[in-house]
Formats: sequence, C-alpha cells, structure tokens
Amino acid sequence: MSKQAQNNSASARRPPEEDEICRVCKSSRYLNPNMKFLVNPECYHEMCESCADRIFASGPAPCPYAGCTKTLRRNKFRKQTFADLKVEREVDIRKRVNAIFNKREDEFNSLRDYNNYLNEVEDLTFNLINKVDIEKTERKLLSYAEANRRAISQNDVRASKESQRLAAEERLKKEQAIQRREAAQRELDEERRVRAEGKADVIHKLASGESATKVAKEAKKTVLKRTLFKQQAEVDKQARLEAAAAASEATLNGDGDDLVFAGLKQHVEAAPLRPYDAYGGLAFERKMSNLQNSYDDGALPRHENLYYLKQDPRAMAGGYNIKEVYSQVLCEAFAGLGVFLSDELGEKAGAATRGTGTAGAAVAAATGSGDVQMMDAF
Amino acid sequence: MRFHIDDLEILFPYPRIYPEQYDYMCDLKRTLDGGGHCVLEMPSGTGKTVSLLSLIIAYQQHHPEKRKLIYCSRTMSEIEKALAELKALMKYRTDQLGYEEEFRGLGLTSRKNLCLHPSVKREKSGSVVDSRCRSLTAGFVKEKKERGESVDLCVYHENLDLLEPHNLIPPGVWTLDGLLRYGEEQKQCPYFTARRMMPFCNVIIYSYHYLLDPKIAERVSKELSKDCIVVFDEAHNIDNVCIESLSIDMTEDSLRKATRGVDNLDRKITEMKSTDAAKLQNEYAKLVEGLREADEARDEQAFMANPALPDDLLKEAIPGNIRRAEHFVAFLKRFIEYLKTRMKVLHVVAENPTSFLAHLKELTFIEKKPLRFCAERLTSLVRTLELTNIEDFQPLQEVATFATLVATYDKGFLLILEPYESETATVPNPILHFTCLDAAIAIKPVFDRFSSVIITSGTISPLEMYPKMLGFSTIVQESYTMTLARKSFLPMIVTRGSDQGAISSGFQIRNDPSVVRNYGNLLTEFCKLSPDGVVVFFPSYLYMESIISMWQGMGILDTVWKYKLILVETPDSQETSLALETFRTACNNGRGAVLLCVARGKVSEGIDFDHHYGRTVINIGVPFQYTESRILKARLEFLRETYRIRENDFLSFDAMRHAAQCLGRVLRGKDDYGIMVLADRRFQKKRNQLPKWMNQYLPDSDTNLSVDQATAIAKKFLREMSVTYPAHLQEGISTWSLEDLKMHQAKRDEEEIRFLQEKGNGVMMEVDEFGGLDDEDMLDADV
Repeated sequence: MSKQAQNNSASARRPPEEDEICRVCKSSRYLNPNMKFLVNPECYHEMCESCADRIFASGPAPCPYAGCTKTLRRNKFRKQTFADLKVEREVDIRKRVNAIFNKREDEFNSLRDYNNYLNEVEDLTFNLINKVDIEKTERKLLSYAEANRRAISQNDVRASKESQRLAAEERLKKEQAIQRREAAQRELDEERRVRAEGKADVIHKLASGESATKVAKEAKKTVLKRTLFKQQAEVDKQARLEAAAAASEATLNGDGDDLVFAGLKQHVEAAPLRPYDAYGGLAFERKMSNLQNSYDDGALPRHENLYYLKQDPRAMAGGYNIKEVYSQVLCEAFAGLGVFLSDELGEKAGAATRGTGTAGAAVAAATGSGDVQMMDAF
Repeated sequence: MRFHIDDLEILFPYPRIYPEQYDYMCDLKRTLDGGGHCVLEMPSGTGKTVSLLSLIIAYQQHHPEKRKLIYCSRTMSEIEKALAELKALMKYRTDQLGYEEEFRGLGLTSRKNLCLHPSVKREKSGSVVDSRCRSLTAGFVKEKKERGESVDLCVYHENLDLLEPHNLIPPGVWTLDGLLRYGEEQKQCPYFTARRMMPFCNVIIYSYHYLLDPKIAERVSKELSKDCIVVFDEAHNIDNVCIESLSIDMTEDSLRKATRGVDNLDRKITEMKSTDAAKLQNEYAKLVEGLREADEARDEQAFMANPALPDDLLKEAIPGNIRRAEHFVAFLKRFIEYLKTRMKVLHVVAENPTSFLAHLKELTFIEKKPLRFCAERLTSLVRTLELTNIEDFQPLQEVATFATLVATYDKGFLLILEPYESETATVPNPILHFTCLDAAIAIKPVFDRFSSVIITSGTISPLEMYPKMLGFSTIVQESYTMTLARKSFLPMIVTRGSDQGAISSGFQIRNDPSVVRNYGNLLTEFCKLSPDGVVVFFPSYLYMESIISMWQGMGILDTVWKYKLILVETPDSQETSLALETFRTACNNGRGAVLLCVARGKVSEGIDFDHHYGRTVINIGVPFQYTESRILKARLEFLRETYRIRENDFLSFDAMRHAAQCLGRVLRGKDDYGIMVLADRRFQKKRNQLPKWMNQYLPDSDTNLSVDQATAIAKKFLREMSVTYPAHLQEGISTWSLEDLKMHQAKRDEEEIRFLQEKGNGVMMEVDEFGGLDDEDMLDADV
C-alpha cells in the first residue's frame, strides 16, 4: 500500500494539466495548484477537496452533480487510483467479489472445473459492473457468501499468509543482494589497496638501493601468491554463500508469527491392493515371432519330436500339447536374433578403455611395489 | 582447388588458400564430427565466409543425411554477400564435379525487401508493409473471396497456391535479387516462396532475429530439424541481440495508443455480436475445450506469436476469466490503466517481476496466470475478429507481449521505470523498461535444439567470455593468427602526447585542454602523413561534440582542413550515409578525407573502409559504455551475481570488443594495409583483450608511445608499404597453392605419426618395465 501512497503523492507534484477543472466550483489547477480531486465510491463523481469539505461539512448531503440522486458522506471520499473512473469503479466491485469468491485451483478436481468457476465469477462481476440483473446477482452473491462463510475465511487466511511469506522472502532477498554487493565492493577496494601497497613497496625498495632483479622477482612472487590466495578466497566465498543461502532458507521457513515446521512428513494414503502376481511383473511375450495354431509340417524341416508326435496319437495321450513343441522349435530358431553386433562391439570397446584405465592403475601400483622393494632392502 | 581434409573432399572456389582458412576448416570439421558447439575467431578479411561455406557444403554433400545449414548474419548487406559467395561456390562445384547437385540455397528477409505487390511495396515502413500484406493474403480474406464477397487479394500470393508446394522454385542458389526477379517473371510472391521452401532447402541464410527472437522464431524457424548446422556470423554482439529480443520499452504515448487499440477491439466485438455472434461463440467453445487450433502453428499470417520461449510456454487451456472476448477486453483495459498509474510515479523504480505482479494483484486483482496467456488470447481474438489493419494494434501487441513475459519469467528480468529522460530534465517523460538481463535465456533453445552451433566473428575476444555469458559449453574454441608475408598493418598504443602528458578519455581529464590539444595534435599528424582516408572513433556522440568544438576553438580543425576534408557522423542515418558517400568520393579523387565517428554508431558496425578508404584508424579513448545507465548497472549486477563476471571485467571486455571492431574496419584483406592507433593511456593494460591476430603484430615496444614516436613509426611503415609487393612473394607463406597445402598436410601427418610413435614407444617402454617388474615379482614369489 505504501507504493500506492507514493503514487498519489507523486501525482500531486505533477505539473498541471490543462483540463483539470473542478466540475462543481469551476476552479482550475491554474488558479489553485494544490488542488486535489476526490471521488466517492457511491457515484464516482469527482470534485475538488475544498468542494467536498464545503458541501459535506454538516453531515450527509446529495451529490452536487445534476441528475445524481445519491446521498454522500464526507468520510467516504478518497483519492482515485486510476485515471479512468470506470476502471476505478470496476476495481472496487472486484475487490468485493474477490473477497467472496476466493477459491483456489487446488480445490477443484480438474483445471477445466476451475476455469468454469473463473468464468462464472467473471460473469457475475461483469453483471455488477455493467448493471445487468443487479438484484439477482446481488442475491446470488450474498447467498453464496452465507453458505460458504467458513471456506471463504479459511482461504482468506491462507492467502494473507502466503502474501506475508512472499513479502518476507522478498525482503530477505533484497537484504542479501545488498550484502553481496557491499562484499564485492569491499573486495575490490581491498584488492586495489593491496596492489597500490605492493607498488609503493617496490618503489620504496628500489629507492633504498636493493637490486632491481631481486625486487622484480619478489614482486612476481607476491603477485603469484596473491592470485593463488584469491582463487582460494573465491572458493571459500562460494561455499560461504551457499551456506548463507541454506541458512536463510531455514530462517525463512521458521520465520513469521505462526509456527510452521519444515520437513513434516506428508500423510500418504496407502495404495489400493492389487491382485497377486506370482512372476512379479515379468511378462512372457514373444518379440520375434507369432505362435500359430498349426503349421504346414511339410514345409518345416523334419523335426524328430514333431514327427513322432504327429505320427503317434499315443504320444498325445498324456495331455501333451503340440503347441509346446512349436513354441520350442520357434524359440530355437530365433535364438540370438535379438542380439545386435554393434551393441556388443560397443561394450567391448568400453571394456577396452576400462582395460587401459586398469593398466594405468597397474603401472601406478607397480611403481608403488618398487618402493616397497626398496623398503625390503633395508 | 580441390583437396581433402581427412576423408572429406573440399572444393574451394579459389586457386589459393590462406593457412588460417585451412586451420579454420579443420576445426570446423572437428566440431561437426564431434557434434557440439564452438567459438571461432578468424581475422577479418581472411575469407571467413567462403571457408565456412565450402567446408559445410562439402560436409553436407558428403554425408547421406545432408544436414541443413542455417547461416545467420547481422545485416542485409552481409546476407547478400554470403548468398553471392554461396552462388559462386556452387557454380565452382558444378564445374568441377561435372554435374549439378540437387541443391537449394535461399535467403530470407523481411516482406518490405521482398514484396512485389505494386502498391504495397511502395510503403516506407516495414510494419505497414506487413500489415497490408496480411490484409491481402490472410486465410480468412481468401475465405471471404470464396464466399463471393468482393475483397482484394494479392495475385503474387495467390499464384503460389497453383504450384506444387514443395517445388515453388527450381533448385539452385537464389540471391535476394534473383528471387525478386524470378518472382516478377513467374508472378509469384518471393517472400512466401522463401518462407514455404525453407523446409526443402539445403542452406538458409537469414538474420539472427529469425532464430533468436521468440516472436519471430516461433513462426519462421519452428520446423527446422534438430540436426541443422547453425552458424552465427559476426557474432561479437550476439549477447546484445539476445537481450534486445526479450526487452520491451513502454512510454505514455504507446500506452495511450494501446488504450485506443483496446477501444477499437471493444467496438469490433460489439459489431460482431450483432452481425456474426456465432463466430465469437465458436471461439469461446473452442477455448472452453482447451483446443489450440491445429492450423494455428502453420498459420504464417498470425497476428503475433507468443513472446515466451517454447520451453516456458504453458500448454493448457486459456483461464476461464479471459475466455469471453468482452472479459478479455476489460482485462486488458484494467492492465493498461494500471500501467498508466505506475507511469505517474516521479521517482525511479526498479523492481523484479515478482513484486510487480504482487502489486498488480493488490491493486487490480489481475492474477499471474491469465496475464501469462495474454499474448495467446489476443492472437486468437484478432483472428476471430478477422482484423486486417493490424498496424493500429501494434502498441496493444506490445502490451500483451509485456504481460506474457512479465508473468512467465521471474528471474533474469527487471522492470525499471525512469520518469525523466535525463538527470537534469524537469518535465517528466516516463519510460518503463522491461529489460532482460540474461543473454542466455533467449539463446538457450537454440543450443538445446541444434546439435552444432558455430559462433564466429573477426573480433570475439576473449573467447571464454561468450560461453560463460551465453551459458553453453564448447568442444572447440579457437582464435587464429594472421599469417602475413610482410606486416601489413601497424597497431600502436599511443599513451602520451608530444609533451609527455598522458592522454585519456577518462572522466576526470577528458576535457582538460592539454589532453584535447594532444588528441588534436595526434589527429593533425596522422592526417598529414596518411594517404587517402582516415577514420577516427570517439567513445560517444557527446564527447565527440565537445572535443570537436574545443578543437575548433584551438584552431586544430583549420590545420586538419589543409590536409583532409572533415566529415562527421550524426545519429541521423540519412545524414551519415550522405557523409559516407562524400567521404568515399573524396578518397577516390583527392587528398582524401577524415571521418569523425562514434565507436558504437552505425559506421563502426558493418561499414568497411577497405584499401584507400581507410589507411589509418584512430580510436580516441576507450569506448566504454555509458556507465550511469540504470539498465547497464542492473545487468552488471546480474552478471556478477549469476555468472561471477566482475563489473570491471565486463565493461572492459565490452569496450575492447568495440575497439577491436573499429580497428578491424580498415583491414579487409591480405593485400590491404593500414595503421591502427589506440590513443588512450588505459589501452596499455587492456592489450591482452585484443584479438590474438592483432596482438600478435603489436610488439611491446609499440605499446607506450608518444605522438611523435608514433608518427615516426607510422612514416616508416608507410614507406615500406609504398613499395609494391608482388603476389608471388606471398606464395607459400601467407597464401598456399595446392602443392603448398599438400606439403603442409604431409608434414602434419608426419608429425602426427611421429607423435603417435613416440607415444607408442612410451607405451612399449612402460609395458616392458611393467613386464620386467612382473618377472621380478614372480621371482620374489618363487623365492
């Protein structure tokens, strides 16, 4: 809301525009540069502050606009937010409607239902704005508000908590950004200082008669040291920043007036029981072939079992199924067809690189063992 | 000449090749084979484009999958140059191979450049051409015609429908002119020919925006397959292009126009309700079902595409509260009114999208989600209303784009409201900047989608900055040196005037009379000694104006006037082109001229001063950006926080890439020569940030010169250059014939073999050692 206040104070400081004339007292911005316009949400007729004070000083009075029959009170007058008064009115209506219809998406079964709800609400709002069926709409609104009072207040609390949290997060982020910026600036200053010092030091040494090569060597060494140190500092800083971020996350979770515990176990509904599957989900499907009910045996090569089974009905007597044999024969025929050479080769190559890796390790181990032998000699 | 790199035969359309061109091709091939991205820096004027094209075309034709090449460049003239090179290359290939390959190469540019319609093509502004074209070619216009209503259609566009859709234009390479001529002959629209033929092309050449700007890329480049080879040429500014494509500026005026647009929409809806309510109902029903029109994606005439990047699009139905047309219009009105209210603030506001949205919700009850669908909903509405004069809705479109972007991204963007144009202004003229801070956002889909992206330019140092800023990893990252038989350009860093006073455009001393006099002295000396054209770059218009007026007071311009004609670049592009023309005339027939221009202006980018047009280039001061700009400050902050690039590092990098770009303007080939002067004390420490090829020819002795020393060196250099240098002396050193190349390849192979052998020997030795130890171990074990 502070922003809104700023907006208004700012608009007061704006240079005058030509068409700003109070329609009630006809005084203009030109004559009265400090003029402020006010509106009353009853009828949205604007007038200057002095008019509002004058007319409504002694209690409620009718609106001075011709044809407007509304009775207004001084305390309801306020500054307008939007230049377009229609929008101003629309927003006021929306404020009311939104306070009642504050359902959230997660309360609906599907997105479509939610969208239909939104559409419905928008229709109601539109009726109110355009003054269509006002009585009926008002009735609907009131009855809904009555019926869902609890849900509405619950959602209200939820929304306000959420916005609080958001604001806190925002504040925290801003603070952190400022801190980081300051840190970076400090770092830069420090670096500059060190460099200047180093330079002064070199000059001093040269002036005091040390040999130039030695001084140069030393300077180089300090530079090297500094860069190494800086790299280390960078790493440390990164770690520190991460830790700080984690900490801030923690404070954010524990912040606020109400207690919220992070990491609470969610209540999980047990999954419904499913029929028992002896194979644990393993499927027996043929990938390469389809088993037919019968095969033209003449075209098949003479298979010993098959031949025997076909010939001798006694073989089938024990409940033996000829399809089992077909299946076995097909399985034999297609065995190995699902194996791809390129995959195999790839695996082999992988194995080869792994081989060199191990070779390297072996060499390292070997040199190690050499040392051990040296030890043995003692 | 024809030669091989590994097993790939390359047809190179010239009889000689530069060594760096060969290296460049080798690295390119490595990138393509490896399937990754690369950053390559190749000196300007060494035939980057032709080597790129000849390698990629060879690669394309060699491999059966024929990966498509998408070549993106920056300006129209560069696109045309590339098309001409491609044409010459294909002609050479046909001659050499003895048959014509099945090949299509096309360039694409805006409708304004490719229109043939007799009245539309006369329009001056691009957006008017787009809008008028749409009113003549849109799908619903045709439907109306079929229904028997009298509407105008574009004959050129209609004729396209009579042709086979995959064969609108015969194979071959079509330059933009060629395309126009063919279109005129066959009476077919060149623009749509190019657009529709894109899936069937081997090479597409167009501007960056067609790939980087999500509003255009979604429509133009959506159907390109994953294995395309994408090349960004002249890519040293690519981060700025990325950022611009996602940034929007809004003024009070544009908001006013947007309001007018909304009112128009409102009126149109009321009209349609009374005449054709079924259509609106139909649209509504579709939105309820969450259907996206199937032909929507293919609709090349759509009002606007979603400005968010494809990955960030929400694929679900339009929210219920903006489903109805009138609801949506009221929604837009409220949003614009809110923006207007924000504009009234008289102090600078910088906030992130999250806080903007929170405040928006508080004041107007606009939620994030419907805001996110704003662009899509508006497109759908415009299509339903069958609006033709879309240029009236341009500001509204901008607002919708802004709405969608602000609701989609909460990181990497910032809203900055500046109520006054400058620090001293008293009359407010508010501008709402919605700026993208992260260049990686816009280019990410390109890197994700295409397997090989090549980023190349003449000056793209330091190379590691680009992967860092754009958020990708490279497999090849290379900067090439320039091989020269004789040193044909002379880079110098001048740090002092003749009076030994330091010269610099640093803020504290830039207006010191002594510094200005020394700069003037430098200019006079170099105007005296250099033949023909001299180009001078200043860091900003403001500084240029102040220094010129001071020179005028000191009488320096009068002295310069004796030797050269003085011309000045202005922010006005027509004035500048007139100045350029005069400059060229003066160089062609006189003592030459001096052009005073700005390092970030039009002249510094894309205008070549080859041969006698530019013999000397002087960079007066380091061309830093205007550091007080809030947008720049925000970006620096973001870079530091996100990519750990320090403010000063980035500023210095940015200044040096512009300086290098300016210096590169005068050297456009190996037969060219020129003097490059960097006149600022601070250049001394920044020389490492110059491209490798420039740094290579900048000896330590030339990095701390005074004006008189520089003059002496330059005189000596020019005397050397004035001796004619026959081409055959370059042979074998800076240009290779086929024999030289073969020799080089043989030598390289030999080296490689030797290297491998040595490595092999090493391995052998290791194995021996290893074996020996093994034996010993065994002995030990035995013992």
